[in-house]
Amino acid sequence: MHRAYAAALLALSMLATLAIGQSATATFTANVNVFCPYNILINTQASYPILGNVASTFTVQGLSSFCSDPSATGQLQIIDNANSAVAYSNEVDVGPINTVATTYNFQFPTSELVNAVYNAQISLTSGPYTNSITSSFQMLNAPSLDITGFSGDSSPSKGALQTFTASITNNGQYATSPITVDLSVSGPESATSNTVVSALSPYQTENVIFQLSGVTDFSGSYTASIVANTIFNSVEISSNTETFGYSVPGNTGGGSGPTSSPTPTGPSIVQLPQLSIISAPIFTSLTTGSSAVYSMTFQSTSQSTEIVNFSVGNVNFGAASFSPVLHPSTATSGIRKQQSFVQLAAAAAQDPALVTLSTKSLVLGPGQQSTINLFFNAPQNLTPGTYVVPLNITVSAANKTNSQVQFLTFSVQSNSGQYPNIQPQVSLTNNTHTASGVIKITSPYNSSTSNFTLQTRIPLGVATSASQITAYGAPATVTSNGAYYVITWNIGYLPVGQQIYAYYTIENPQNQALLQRVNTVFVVPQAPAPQSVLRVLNINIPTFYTNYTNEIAASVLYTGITQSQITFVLTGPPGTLISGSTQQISASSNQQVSARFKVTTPSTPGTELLGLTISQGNSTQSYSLPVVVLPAAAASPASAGQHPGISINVQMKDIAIAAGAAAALALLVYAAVYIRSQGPGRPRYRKDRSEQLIRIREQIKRSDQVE
Amino acid sequence: MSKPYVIRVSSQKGGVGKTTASVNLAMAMSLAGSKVLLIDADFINPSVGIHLGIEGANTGVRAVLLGKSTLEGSVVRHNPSGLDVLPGEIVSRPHNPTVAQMQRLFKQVFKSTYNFVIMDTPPGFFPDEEFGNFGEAIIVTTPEMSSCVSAVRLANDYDRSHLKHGLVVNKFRNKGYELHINEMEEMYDGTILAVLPDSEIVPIGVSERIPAYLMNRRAPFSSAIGQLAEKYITKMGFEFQAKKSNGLLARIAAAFRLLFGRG
Repeated sequence: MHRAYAAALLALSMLATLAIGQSATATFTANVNVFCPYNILINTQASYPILGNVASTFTVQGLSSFCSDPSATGQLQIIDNANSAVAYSNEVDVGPINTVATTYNFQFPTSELVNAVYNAQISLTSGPYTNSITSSFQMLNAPSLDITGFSGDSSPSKGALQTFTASITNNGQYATSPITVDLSVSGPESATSNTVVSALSPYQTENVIFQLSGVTDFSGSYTASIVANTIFNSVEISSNTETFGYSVPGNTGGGSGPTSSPTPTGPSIVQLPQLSIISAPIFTSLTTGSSAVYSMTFQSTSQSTEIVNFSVGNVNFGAASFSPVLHPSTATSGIRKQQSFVQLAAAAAQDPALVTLSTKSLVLGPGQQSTINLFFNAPQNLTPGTYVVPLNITVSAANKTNSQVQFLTFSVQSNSGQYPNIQPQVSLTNNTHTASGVIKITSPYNSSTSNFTLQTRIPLGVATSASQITAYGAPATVTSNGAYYVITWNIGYLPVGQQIYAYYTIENPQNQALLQRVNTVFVVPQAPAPQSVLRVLNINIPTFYTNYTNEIAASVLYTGITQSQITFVLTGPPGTLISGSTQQISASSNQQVSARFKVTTPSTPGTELLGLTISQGNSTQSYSLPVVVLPAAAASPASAGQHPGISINVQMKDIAIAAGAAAALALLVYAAVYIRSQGPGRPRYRKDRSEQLIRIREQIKRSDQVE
Repeated sequence: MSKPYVIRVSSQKGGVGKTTASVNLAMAMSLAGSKVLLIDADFINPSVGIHLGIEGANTGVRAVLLGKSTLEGSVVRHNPSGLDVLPGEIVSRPHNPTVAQMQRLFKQVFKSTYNFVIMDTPPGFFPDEEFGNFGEAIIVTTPEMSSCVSAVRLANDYDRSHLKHGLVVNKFRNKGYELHINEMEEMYDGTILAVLPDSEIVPIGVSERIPAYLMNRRAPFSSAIGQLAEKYITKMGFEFQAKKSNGLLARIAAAFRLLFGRG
């Protein structure tokens, strides 16, 4: 009896379910089996990157308490949309199905999938019945970094700045996050450098330039390697590692260079007994075809008038970053002789006018200060590299003479005209208590430069903390990366041929010699050509009938790197009404957004050509959407649109309706039989039966009398 | 002090609900203020103790019949209702008492101070010699022909012995396939004392060892039992103490009394 009631109520419930299905197909998303009415809603996205596992959910809700099944089993299948091949299959956990909507997780590995369209199908088996739902999605390539064109000067001069260039391209279909580029050089000298460049949209390329000092000071073979990294969905993605080899030729003017990198030690400014050097250049640079003036200030510490004589010794070429040295022939008592002095080729022979002094002699009274200028002239044909200028200083006072050699380092760079020119210099000022740096940045003569970054790297031994360093003149930040204090200069725009200056000071430098190791590198990301940052994932065009309203939905993946507005515009011919024909949706990087348009077709059948334009910034994509309008007589009673990416098996729906009707018929038959079995419903007095009973009673009495 | 009024609850056919009627009638009369003794005299299938949850009693009607115990010493008090019960003993073979044994029992019954003695008897005939000890007999039937014919046979037997009797129709579902009350009345040619509706409360009560009347006095079955009890009590000149129907709390309390007062 109870079973019969259950069957009847189940049938009624099924009819109610079908009725719901007619009016609210947005929730009637499963291929519902008539005997077990419940909804399955799969919550997949329109696209996923091919990276790691995809995690998603599905929701199950029974529509009738009679559908409750404590032992339903679930199966996930990932089916290739092109050939219906099952790419992945696995069981999914599902609990009892009842009227409480319950969400369950499922996941599948993307390693089994390729760049294609797939259907995720969740099938739930409840007893002999299986319900399923299918959702379509695209697998897209995760960001992929490729480094190409890594190169530099294959044979740089000793001491010259080495410039490396490389191109970084995102060959994935999602935008990257900011990219870290690591450069390392190994050889007679080793160095590392890194920088962070901005995120890249799909197929965008960014050129990166590194300009490094200290990687050409010694002859020999060097190998530079470069690699880029980015983070996507919490996974680190690395590019290919590209290498580039170069060699620094040996000295051409005789002598031999050191075989290993010297270590700077001791003060770079050595004071004389009667003379104090107030300020002096430590490291300066200039480009070929230019000249520069640097000054040195002296103060007498003698009680009597003294005469100071200056002369420039042989200019050494290609000996950057070595220890402060003293010329042995001019060393005097009180000045410690350095054993590591290296006499290099006499570069002065190249051009005697390379360095000239404003004066060769000064007369200083007690406590008096005076300044001399050093003119450095770098002709166009001067070999790029580092020049060490020995400045002989002789002080004579009261028949007492002291001499020393102060070495000044000049870096000469070639002016390619292609990249901004960086001319850093470091001086000791404030009675050598302050290291002052000036960076002159000159834009190429034929092009402007924008959005480039300079990094001034100061060895940790120079200061005890970053607070001793002050940067100004351009937007800058001072940080420490464990190996250097790094001043990062961000230059927004530099017009053609113009120059700007950036300044920094280091109070009370701990090691003046290390100041020669302060170098400045720059990275110039060349603005890549704009690429499309809109990937259309899905345009859903349902069936239309005359005088009929349905929904067209378009989904796109925005692969730009900054938050932006996506504009969807749907237009149609006269007679076609489009509700919300222009829609603007804000999207962040790698976000999927969808626009839905309610379209009402005209009264005549045919093909309507609608136009869909999706744009963001300068990126625009246009589509022609042919919409077939069928005669209304063939129209399905369904009136609402479908969720894009979720297919509804119409055939199964028809079967469900037919089965529901059969169930209703069975219900009526059952009710008729049941009512008949119940009889009239109340005990009915039947005279014939009563008379029969009385006859029986009399029979009983008669029998008793016989006994 | 008058001797107890002994009512035999009987039927010619088994399974019509004699024990159910006996237990609940005795319960209703007891709760209405009468001193009632319920005797399980169904020597074939004693089940009063099962209905009341006292089947574990270590004495009973057999001990009294055999003279091994007195009536007073064998009566078990059903604590939730205050009803005294002389339970039957569930043994392998049925005990067929002799006339002398029955006289021993009735002698003690009549010496007791009970107002009413409800005696649940086995289906079928009872020794005619004992009819004189009964004040009245209740014939229990169900509303279908075979049961009613059996009831008529028993009624004819009572008539022959000049024992008053009344008919109680049990398990009445009020369905079209059942005999109409008038049909049963015409056939029985006597008084229909009560019509007890078929109700789930009866098997539930048996399952829970709480008689239906004690479980819910508002149920139609309990109401019919109550009216029958009132008829007997007032007929014998006793006061029918109509207690307020037990509500949910009272029923819960009764259930607790039953649970913790047992044994």
